Amino acid sequence: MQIDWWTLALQAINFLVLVWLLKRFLYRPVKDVIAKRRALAEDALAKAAAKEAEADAEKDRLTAERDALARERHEVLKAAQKQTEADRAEILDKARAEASRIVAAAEAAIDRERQETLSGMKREIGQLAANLAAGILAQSDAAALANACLDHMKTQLEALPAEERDQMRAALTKGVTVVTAVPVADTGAWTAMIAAALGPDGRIDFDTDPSLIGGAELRFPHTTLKFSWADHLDQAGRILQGDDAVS
Amino acid sequence: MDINPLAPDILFHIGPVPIDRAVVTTWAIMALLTLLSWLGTRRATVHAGGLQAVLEIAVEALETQIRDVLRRDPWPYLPILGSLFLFIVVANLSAVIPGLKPPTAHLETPAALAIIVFLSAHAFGLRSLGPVNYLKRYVKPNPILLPLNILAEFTRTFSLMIRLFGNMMSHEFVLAIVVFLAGLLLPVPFMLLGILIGVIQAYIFTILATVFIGAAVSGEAD
Repeated sequence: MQIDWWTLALQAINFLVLVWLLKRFLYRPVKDVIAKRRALAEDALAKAAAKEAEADAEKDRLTAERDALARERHEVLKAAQKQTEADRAEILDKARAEASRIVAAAEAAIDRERQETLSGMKREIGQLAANLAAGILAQSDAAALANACLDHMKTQLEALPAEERDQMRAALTKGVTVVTAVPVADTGAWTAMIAAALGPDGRIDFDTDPSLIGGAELRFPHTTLKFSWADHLDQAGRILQGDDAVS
Repeated sequence: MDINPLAPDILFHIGPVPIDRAVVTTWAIMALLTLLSWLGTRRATVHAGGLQAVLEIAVEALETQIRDVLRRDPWPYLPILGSLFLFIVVANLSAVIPGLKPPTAHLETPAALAIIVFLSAHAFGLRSLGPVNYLKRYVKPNPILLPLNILAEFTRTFSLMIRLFGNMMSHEFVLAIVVFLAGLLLPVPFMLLGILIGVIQAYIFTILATVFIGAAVSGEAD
């Protein structure tokens, strides 16, 4: 067995040249491609991670937006409910006020109608009573009735305040008319009663008015003193009708 | 039968340098590997084509194997270790081509490869650890073992050479004997077995070289 040293050296050189060639044409290009591919993969992963982060951020934003919308919806519903309750309360208040007004108006109308009815009834009753009394009195002795009020007239004239009586006494000088329902038979008694109450100075006339029914009226130029039954019946009728102004 | 089958088969001379058949075969293998590499990577893109994909798969497989053994970045060691494997595989498999004799079946080629492994292991070790730390490994675990450690450096290189040479040479001899005795068809199973042996021997040679370099760069005993 022998070794050819030339061959050994050539083979060693050949192998080293092969190492250089493969490094130049195989390992370095493959390493570059692998590195490039790895960089692309890392870039893709980084982009995916960025996209994921972006998606997470978008998700968080949408979640926050959804929560905000839910809160807003809740607030709007709450406000709408509050507004509805306020409107309802206002409508109820208005309805109650309207109902109260209608009820008050109805009560007032009823009261007014009742009052009118009552007044009408009183008026009719008073009128009826006056008519009945007038009917009864018309059948009685009018002359007697006229004379019957002489004492009453005298008492009333004497009871007048002095100032008022002085005014009547002054008016008497211009004349007074004694009006009765039937002609006065005893004018002297009337003249004496007036002279006794107001004084002798004055002119006294007599006149008749059947509407007086009974009694008499002293008609001065500017005032009239009524002592007739018609006036009494009129006052009684007004009292029956509830007229407070009657005295 | 007076021709020595182990004698160099000189084809021609370049000046004083005799050119052996194994050298010419080696040049052809170098040309083939370089051409394939150039074709596969001349327009290397991220989206690999057929040949580029094959080359990438081969390189990545080698890278993974070296990384698993060395447990460090394999790229500084890949050119020499990867080239070892590819060259030995192609050289061993060249036996299946009629008329070709594998260069590894001649002593000079495995010897050259073993010497390169021997020198590169020391070179990587010195570069990785520095001269002092690198030389300290020869006196570990005990300075008494220094002669044995030095002797082991040579014996393991020698065994690396002889293992490859012996296997390939013996396979050639067996194949020649079977052809001589049994004719043309019977050697076919032996040739298929030769393919397996060629790949296994290339793997063993490369892995052992990787282990030697790994031991050198890490400062550990083999």
